Amino acid sequence: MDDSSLREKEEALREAISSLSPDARKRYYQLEEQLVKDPDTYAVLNYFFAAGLHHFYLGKVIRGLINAILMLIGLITFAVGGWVLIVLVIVIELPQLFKSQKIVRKHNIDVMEGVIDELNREQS
Amino acid sequence: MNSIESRVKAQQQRLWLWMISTALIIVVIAGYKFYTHGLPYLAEEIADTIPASVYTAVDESTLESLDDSEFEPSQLSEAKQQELRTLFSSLLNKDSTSERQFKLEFRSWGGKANAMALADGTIVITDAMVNLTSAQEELSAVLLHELGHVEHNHVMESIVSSSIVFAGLTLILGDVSALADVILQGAVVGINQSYSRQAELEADKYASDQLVALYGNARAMQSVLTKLSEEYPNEMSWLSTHPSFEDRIQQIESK
Repeated sequence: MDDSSLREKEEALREAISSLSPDARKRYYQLEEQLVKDPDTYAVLNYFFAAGLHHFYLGKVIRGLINAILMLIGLITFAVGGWVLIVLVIVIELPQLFKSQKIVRKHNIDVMEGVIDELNREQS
Repeated sequence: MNSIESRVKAQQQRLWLWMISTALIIVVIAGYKFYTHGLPYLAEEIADTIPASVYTAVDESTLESLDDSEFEPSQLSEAKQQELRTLFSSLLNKDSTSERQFKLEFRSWGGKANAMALADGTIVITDAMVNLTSAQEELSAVLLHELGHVEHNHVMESIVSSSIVFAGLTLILGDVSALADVILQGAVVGINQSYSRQAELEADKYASDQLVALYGNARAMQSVLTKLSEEYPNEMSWLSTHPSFEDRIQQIESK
């Protein structure tokens, strides 16, 4: 997803927020505080042993688990070829470090769109 | 609390639990693997690249410092010292490509029977250790054990591995608190102990193999360890840098 489409989605999100009732808007901002993720934290968790913590941070538990298990197998069998697995995980996971701004921005938009949908459902 | 809010709160707590537990497992396993495999490998590789002049300097300063603080001049006669130097020369591995400057030094250490190897091949033996041995084979066993430390480069590898841990932990913990200092010292002491115990067994193996080649058996190694265990019955504990005499005798017997 490119920058302009992300901007469009953010604009649509702003409009959806303004259409909420004052009470729902207040709840939205309280939820936003808890749910919005920080790209820098995501980046740091990504390069911390490349162990999948950044996936957990964004709520992707299954992907985080797969990443962590592969890393553990690589560490345990390091001397008998496990290092290849570690290199592979790093090659797959590390590029996300350089796209952290975009990944987290998209995640935040998706999550907050979901919150607005739920608040609207509760309202109606 | 509203349903969305309570669900979000529970979800966030679950995610932090996943992150913390995964991080802990990874850190513990990575730390263990580094400690058992990475550190010895790095120490060996780095120690091998250190110039010979550094080894000589380490030996000179260590011996100087021990002379100032612990040792006294040897009371052994010049003839006895010469006899032991001749024995020492005969024990040196003629095929070795080692750059070490092997030499034998005699000191008195408050009546303690001990011998030690320094990084560049200087072996120090105390008068009490010479007097404790009753045969040339036993003296050979002591000297060969110390030569084993030099052949395996244990001293420099130990210095390097302690330095890696010290530098690594200083980078992680910073130089800010008493707690950091305690963790740092504890880690270095722990690594030294574990490393020394393994190094002792390796040196014992080297000495046993050489004794078998020279005298047909390694009984002298066992007899000198037995004498030491009788002389110092309460010496060994879990805090020691050496394995117990019983463990070492058992290791030699099992070969």
